[in-house]
Amino acid sequence: MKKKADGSFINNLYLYREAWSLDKRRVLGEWWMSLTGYLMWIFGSIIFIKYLLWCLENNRPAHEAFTFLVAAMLIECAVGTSRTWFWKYYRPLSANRMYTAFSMRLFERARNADLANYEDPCFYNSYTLAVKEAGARMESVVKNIPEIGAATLSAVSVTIAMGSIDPWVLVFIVFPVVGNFVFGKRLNRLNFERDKKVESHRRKVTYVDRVFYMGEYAKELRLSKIGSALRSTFETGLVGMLETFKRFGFKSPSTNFVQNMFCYVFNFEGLFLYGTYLAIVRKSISLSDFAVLASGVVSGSWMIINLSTAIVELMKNGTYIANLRTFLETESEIRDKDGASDLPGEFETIEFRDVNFSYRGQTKKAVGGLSFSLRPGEKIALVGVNGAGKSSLVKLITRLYDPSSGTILYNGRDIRDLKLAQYRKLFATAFQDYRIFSLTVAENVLMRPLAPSGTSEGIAERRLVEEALADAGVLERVKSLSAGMDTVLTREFDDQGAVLSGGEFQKIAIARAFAQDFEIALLDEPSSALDPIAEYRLYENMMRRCRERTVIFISHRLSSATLADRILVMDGGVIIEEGSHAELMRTGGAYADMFRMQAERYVVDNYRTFAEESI
Amino acid sequence: MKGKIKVSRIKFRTLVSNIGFLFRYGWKSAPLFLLAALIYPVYQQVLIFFEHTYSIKFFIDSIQYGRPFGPVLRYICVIAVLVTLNLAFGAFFGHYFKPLSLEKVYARMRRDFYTKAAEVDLECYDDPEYYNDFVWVLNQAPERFQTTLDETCSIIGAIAAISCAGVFIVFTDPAGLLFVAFSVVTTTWAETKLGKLKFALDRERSAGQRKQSYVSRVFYTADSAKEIRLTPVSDRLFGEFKTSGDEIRTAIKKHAPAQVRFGIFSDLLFQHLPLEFFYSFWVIFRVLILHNLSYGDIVALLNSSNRMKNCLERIASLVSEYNTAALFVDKVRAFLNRPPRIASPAKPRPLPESKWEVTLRDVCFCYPGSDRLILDHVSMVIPAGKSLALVGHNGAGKTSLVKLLMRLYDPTSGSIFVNGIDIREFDPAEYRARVGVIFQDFQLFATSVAENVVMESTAADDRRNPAIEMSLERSGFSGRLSKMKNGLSTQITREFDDLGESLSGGEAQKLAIARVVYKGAALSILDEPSSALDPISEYQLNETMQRASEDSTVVYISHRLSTTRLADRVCLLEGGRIVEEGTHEELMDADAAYAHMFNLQAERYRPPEARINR
Repeated sequence: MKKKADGSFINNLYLYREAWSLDKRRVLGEWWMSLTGYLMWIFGSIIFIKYLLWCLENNRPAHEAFTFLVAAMLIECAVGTSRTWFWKYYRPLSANRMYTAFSMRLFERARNADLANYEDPCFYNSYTLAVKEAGARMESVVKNIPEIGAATLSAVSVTIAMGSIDPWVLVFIVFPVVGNFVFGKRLNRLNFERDKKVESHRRKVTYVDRVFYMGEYAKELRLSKIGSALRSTFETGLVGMLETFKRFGFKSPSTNFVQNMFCYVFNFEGLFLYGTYLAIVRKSISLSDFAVLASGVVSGSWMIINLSTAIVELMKNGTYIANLRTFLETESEIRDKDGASDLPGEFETIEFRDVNFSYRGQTKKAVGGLSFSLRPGEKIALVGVNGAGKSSLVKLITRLYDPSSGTILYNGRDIRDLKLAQYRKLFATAFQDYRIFSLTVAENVLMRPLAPSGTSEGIAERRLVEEALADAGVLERVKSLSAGMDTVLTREFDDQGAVLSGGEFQKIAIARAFAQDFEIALLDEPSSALDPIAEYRLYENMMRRCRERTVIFISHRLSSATLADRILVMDGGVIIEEGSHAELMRTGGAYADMFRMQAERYVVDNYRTFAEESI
Repeated sequence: MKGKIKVSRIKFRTLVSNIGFLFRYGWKSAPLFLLAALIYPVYQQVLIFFEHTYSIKFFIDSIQYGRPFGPVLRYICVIAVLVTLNLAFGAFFGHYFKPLSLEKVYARMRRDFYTKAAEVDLECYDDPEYYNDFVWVLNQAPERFQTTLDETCSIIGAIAAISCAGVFIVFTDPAGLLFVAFSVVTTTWAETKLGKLKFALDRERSAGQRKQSYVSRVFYTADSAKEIRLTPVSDRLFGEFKTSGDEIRTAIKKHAPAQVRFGIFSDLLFQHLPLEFFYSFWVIFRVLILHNLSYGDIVALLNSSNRMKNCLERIASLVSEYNTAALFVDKVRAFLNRPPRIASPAKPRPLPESKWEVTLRDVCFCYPGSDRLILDHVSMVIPAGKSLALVGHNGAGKTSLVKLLMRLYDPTSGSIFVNGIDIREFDPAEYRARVGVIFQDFQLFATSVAENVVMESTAADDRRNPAIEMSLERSGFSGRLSKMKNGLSTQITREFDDLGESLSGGEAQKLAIARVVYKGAALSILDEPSSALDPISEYQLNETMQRASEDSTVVYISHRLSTTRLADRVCLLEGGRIVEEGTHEELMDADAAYAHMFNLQAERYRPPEARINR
């Protein structure tokens, strides 16, 4: 995964352009907010005071000062009104509009990203962060860039105003610049180093947090004293953290001290000294000029401090946006090629030709030199020990991954030349690690919104869902829910949502496959959480529903393999045996061994296993 | 992260008590730090007043009245020294003392939370809402402590600044205080009212925000990646996301105009007019017409009233943050104060030394908060040293029954006895120490092999503990162990140690079985340990488990009836009742539900001519 090497500023501009295309008024409005904010600040702290004192010193008539005050007041009210409106109305509205629109773009990209990326922790982390923080970062960039512009502009104007009184005072404005941009930078580096060292110890603490707080460890924590071992891991981590802090000692504090001396003492006290000297001893500047210098150095310094904070923010955003761009601009490897063609006719064959595949970053082949073909109506069982490559095969055939070498052909055409969406539509899938979404039962089955229940289409859809649920063996349970198939599942955001058992959720996930219009069903251990009766019915129903269709299923319960026309026995990523149940039992290889092992205990005295029979 | 705090408002007394609760953690673990943190902003604000407000008056007066330079020079020097000291302390405090002390505070919180998390009833984990909240609250607590402390310091600082400015105004221009007081009182009122308006909006848009964050999570976590690619569900989720966005914006459009109107009105009437306009008017009037204020006074007075206004705004905005913090603490407290239902009796009975005979008498059980009867008057006896297999449909109550046997829950009515003694009369921790369990979803921990077997801290030099090695031998792990360079002290997982070993599923399971062997459990429970295993691993596991649990009373749950057949007795549960019970042979002869289930499963393992035609 190549990272975008562009500078922070370019990256910020990238997101800024996005924001501009989403809501121009918002982008301009933020400039209005920053500029008027700084202008009001300068006016209140410098211009107003200077004018007032100037009037007094030169004995101007009182009405002049009052007129000025009224004019200033009117302008401020007008500006203030526009700011309140923007702040309380337009900004939150636009923030959500931009977040929604931009997130949709990211989701669109996310659903097309290669699944392989999820195995690359570096990509995955940056990508997770990219989507998770998209809204917040866009807000930050939209506000931060005008802040930098306005702070710079104001700092320069204040500097010019002060410089026109006495050029030497500019020296005092240089102090906070040096403080922040030299010592501030050093401080950040020191703290970064320290945090990195602390992090290695903090990992222990966060690990223990996870174990104590997460449900998956709860049972073991209660049934054993492992908690005591983890507590000592935690204490070790804590001591490590505290010691790291102590070891770094006064390096950070002393740097911070120097930084602040530049930012708050040398400039303020220095200028007070110099200014009073000019006004009292040398008598070279007027009282109002002194007032400008005194408040100018305070506001000017704060503007520079704000500016440096905003620049730090810019840098932070830059790193984040680099991730975001990497994510948005990395081309998926699995996508429609230029000129990808429609599916060449009805499904006739799918053929694996010498397919090799290894997961990213792993040298071991998950699939090595796999060749087989698949015809309409076939029922194929994939059998083998854990890690034999069965699930990888399923992922390859659905093009969640592309082979490292070799080809997969659909009706003789390389599947990489076909339109991805059309190709994937051939399959209905049920995985062991299925997900249930926080939608209604019916939507969880159809995986799309339903037509209104009154329409003929809606009625047909409901019937389809009902049939699928019945065949998956969960219809009765769904009917018992408060709103039947329109009940929302999980309590994610509906407190009335239904939480079903693992087995029931798995059946709903299986119903998905049944409700789909498909050519090939792929079932990866769909029955792992089901009881024997449910499992039996599931396979019966599957075979009945899919009489004309192709089915590939993975199951560790070999009794179901006997239903298959053809069994592929996999080991180490290759097919080591192939044939019908009867053939394989006759050959007496690995499959026969496995089958015998499982069958042994089912055999009641008056029956003998098929395996024994064939010896 | 979900589990966001529900939008609601909180009483003042609860607020104070809740913030106090957070600070007690600070006080107990780092009292000096807490004191310093709370006092430091006062010193800082007083100093800022003398550095930036009073000084300007002093300088301008000196210029106006042509006073000598000496006192000015002295004033600047004293201030410079004080500020330098302040900065030196601030640097030490902010970059050394604070991070160090905060870690100590967090550690204290964590120790409390860990204790509580380990003793809280398992039922809490079954309630997704409670559980999500709970994980979220615990993870957020340290961060929340810090923000609350920072906010408090900020408020203390703001109050100090207001007091300085107030005192100055009282002494220089008592009449001016009227303007300021008017503004303070009305602004406070306006902020409360504005807070209510904001609250109404927050409540109305929170549902939409929850939905948007759910959809966003679906897209950025790996869990749903396959479904997203292989089904059209993403379009449905897009729709949900978009609609929620529309809902949120409708809520804003509905509620924001009132905020805008009121904001403009209160800014003008309570701030701009009294403080900036009338007050400036008044000050200029005193200088120009009454001639009873110096130039320095004007600058300092305008500056002070301005500072007061800013500090008030800051306090107002922090008060609503405080409300969130208090709601947060409510959750923490609710969780810490929840008494565990399963607690040790006053005088626990010693556990029997002999083999266990386990008896269930009329046991009923509902999950807390539900009235669905999971176990319905179950009675049975498992003779000492014998094994029992529990079979039945999904949802028949098997897993709940073993949870009762482990005392992770107590029966709603009825009792469980071990050798005639109600298990509630034992200390739960001691009791559980004699129960060995293997789950399908067992976990390995990122510690040494030895600790993963013993499941409590062991001495670091425990490299060759014969008892542990024996257990690993019996569970079939010794082959893998001999390949480990550091033997029993080898770290499991690479979580902290790059040389840590990762184990395959089968190996991990053997390590987990060694736990039960080592424990010398009087009661062993095997809850579907083989469901994810291939036939060969399953076969080996069955062999191992048989050997491992030779001396104890055993309860099996398995959907593979070939496994349950090994048990001395089989018990078929349906709808929370025992419908059949006996040896495998007896039940097969009875030819009822169990036999049907068994035959169904066995059928395809038999040669075709032997299959029962139905």
